[in-house]
Amino acid sequence: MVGFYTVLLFIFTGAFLVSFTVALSRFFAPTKQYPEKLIPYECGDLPQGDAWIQFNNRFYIVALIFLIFDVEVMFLFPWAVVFNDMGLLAFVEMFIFIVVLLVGYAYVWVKGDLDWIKPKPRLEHLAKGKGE
Amino acid sequence: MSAILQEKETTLYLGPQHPGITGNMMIELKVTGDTIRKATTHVGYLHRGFEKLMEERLWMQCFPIVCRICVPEPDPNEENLARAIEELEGREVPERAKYIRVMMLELSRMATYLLWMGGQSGSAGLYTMPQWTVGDRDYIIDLFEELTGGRVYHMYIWPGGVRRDLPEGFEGRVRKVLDYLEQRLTDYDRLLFENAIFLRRAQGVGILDKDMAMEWGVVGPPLRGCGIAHDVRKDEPYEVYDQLDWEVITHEGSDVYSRAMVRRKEFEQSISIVRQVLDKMPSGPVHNPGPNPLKWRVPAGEAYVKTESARGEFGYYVVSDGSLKPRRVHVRGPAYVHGVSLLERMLVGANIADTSFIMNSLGTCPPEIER
Amino acid sequence: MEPLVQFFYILLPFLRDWPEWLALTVIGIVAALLMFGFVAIFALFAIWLERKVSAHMQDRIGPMEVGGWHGWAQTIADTIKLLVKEDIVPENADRILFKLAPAIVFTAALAGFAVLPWTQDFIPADLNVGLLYILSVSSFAVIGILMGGWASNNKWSLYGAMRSASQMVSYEIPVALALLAVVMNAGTLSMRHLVMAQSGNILDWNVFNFFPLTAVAFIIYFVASLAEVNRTPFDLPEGESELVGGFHTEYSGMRFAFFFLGEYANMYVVSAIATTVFLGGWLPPFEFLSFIPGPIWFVGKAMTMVFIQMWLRWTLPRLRVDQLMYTCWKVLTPFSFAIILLIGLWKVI
Repeated sequence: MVGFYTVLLFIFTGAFLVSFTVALSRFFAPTKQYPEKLIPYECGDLPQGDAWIQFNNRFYIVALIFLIFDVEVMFLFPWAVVFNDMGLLAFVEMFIFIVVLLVGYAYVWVKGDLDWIKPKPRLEHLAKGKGE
Repeated sequence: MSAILQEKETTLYLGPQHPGITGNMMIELKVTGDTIRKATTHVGYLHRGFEKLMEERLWMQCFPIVCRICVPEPDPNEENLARAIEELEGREVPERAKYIRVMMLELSRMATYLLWMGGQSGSAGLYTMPQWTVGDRDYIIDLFEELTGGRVYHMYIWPGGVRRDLPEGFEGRVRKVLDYLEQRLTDYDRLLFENAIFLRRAQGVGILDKDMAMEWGVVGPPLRGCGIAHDVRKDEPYEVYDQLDWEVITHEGSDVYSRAMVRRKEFEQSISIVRQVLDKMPSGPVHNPGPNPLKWRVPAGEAYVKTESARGEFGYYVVSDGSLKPRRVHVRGPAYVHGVSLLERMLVGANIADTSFIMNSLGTCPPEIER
Repeated sequence: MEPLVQFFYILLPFLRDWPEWLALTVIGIVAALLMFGFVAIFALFAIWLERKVSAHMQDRIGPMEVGGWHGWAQTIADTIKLLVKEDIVPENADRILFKLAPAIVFTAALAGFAVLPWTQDFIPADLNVGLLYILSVSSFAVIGILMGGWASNNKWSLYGAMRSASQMVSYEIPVALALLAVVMNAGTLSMRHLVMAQSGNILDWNVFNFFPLTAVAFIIYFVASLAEVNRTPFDLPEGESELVGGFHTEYSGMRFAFFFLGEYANMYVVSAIATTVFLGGWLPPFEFLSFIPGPIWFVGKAMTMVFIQMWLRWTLPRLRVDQLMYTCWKVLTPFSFAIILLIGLWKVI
């Protein structure tokens, strides 16, 4: 368990170094703040509305798919470690496991949830677009 | 799914200060997720009122102004104004001056295409290409500097011919630059035009169909990229284009890629045009002098001339009332159609990432939109 | 006994007299500081190198002035400049998350260094699940980036952060599966034992094992790791022609510097994983070259990978979001599954 203790020390040291350096920069850096400087950057114009916007649900679906696969990968790692010792039995068992997941993968694929929204220019809009 | 999760639209401003937008121009995007639902362009950050300025200037003083209408390619503007005045006055241009003018126009077309290649690949996130092309463009600009004294704004073409004859040995130096650029094209092909990712990004994106292009008055490479052979140089030849051997280049596909290929092939063709011009160039005077510029009255009348610039058809409508100054100069540039009316419609349904990609492929030049 | 602790006990014998917890703490902190020093020097060097590499690919010469020889001190000067830059937190921003984000990104990157095997005797923490640990720690960067982008209260930042999150989590699947292909053969997750299983000459390296299956796994890993660290052609989160600066649009001064440092540290971490797992870690390619010490091989191989990352950055355009997802879910993932099954079959038969 010494290794994990070292890892913990790494994390603390890293966090300390970041805070230390940022604090250090306070001694050197100027602070002249005025309202215009604190406006979020929106390409030179005043920001319109809040930036905490409702976001595309595609990201949510990707996150769900990722979760399933990541859990699967977590199961695969211990299996891979003992694979050499167990041979055929391990292979067949994991084969069944993977196939079950691949069926789900195929389902998601066919359902189209792996497709990001492709840019589809609406040509009919282009053609009539005169007045608009 | 979409019925349940109806997404709200978000407003994004691209520009006036945005690394992906050339020049100062704003595109207001209404987006849901990554898809653009509505695009509105806002111009006016760069308005300088050139047309009005010219009404208060002597004829000769207009030349330094028209150069600045489209910054990367000033020569078609000079050519237009010069030809309009020549048409009003009925002044003859010596044969040699015509050849030199064609050489200037084609060199400036090449310089503009080089700049465009950089912009197109820069908007796709490949920053090596801009460095190469802008570097190579400098060789052309060096030629301009030697010939005219100005690197970007030349004020070289003027009524009755060109300002001065070619310096000694200039022809050889032009040929050297042409050879170099021709050999560089293979590098460009390998880096950009044959790059699998560029093909994936450019093909099928920014589609502009034929009817639409005709209806909206699209000109230049975007029109030829729809497979329509329209080129002022061929349709209404000016200077000596009818005596040279060249073809109008078209490309089927109507997408960003076909527009890119049109420009790439025209670049190659410009090299051959300049070579022909150098071969055929006659000797003789280069200028048919006019009156003292301070007392220069252009006969009353009106003229409309057009030139094929790298962005498309550039038209000048010049009215003179016989006084020392133009009565009215109206500029019909390609960028207004491309950069405002068309862009607003083409962006609908596109991805945010493609905004500047499509804008670059249309060859929009914000300074020229507002003049 | 841990290799690191032994290493320090031999180096500094008086540590043996100290209470064990104190000695371990001191050793751990010293190791962390050593790694931080390495990260800092590596980042300074890599940024300079990237500028030079890009310059020479673009017919330029790059920085030439600062420090004399080929502008070697340019990055140091830049760092000092960043140190004295004003630290701006935009109004309406979520101040706590905004300030926390760079720390998380950088700390995650530094924590990844804890299990890198520099040589047989020097590995800060020889975890028996080292590979799994480094995979999970590198996912922490996503949280930092998401926090930074969200807290900025800027639409470009939010877009960059969202893209970055979806990209980094998606590409974690091919990364993990490609590494799994090697673990199946080696039968261990410890970084040290993974390298030791490859001893011999160059043909014993995992990349040439089960040729061409692991070679394909290596390519899958490399492509996906580019996406993990947001490098071109997968630099969508910060693609400047689309999203201005992506998730770090609003950051300035030292906080921006830590995002930057984290990015370069992550570049090294993914290269080091590739070196450890596929390219034989600290081992020389041929027996007669073994007089060159292990750390030099390790750093050399990793730097080669870093160079390839830079090379790709300056020769490839950026992908679009849908193409990015397509590449991950419909190309890399099926292929890595196929490789795992094929290697399993190969070993069983």
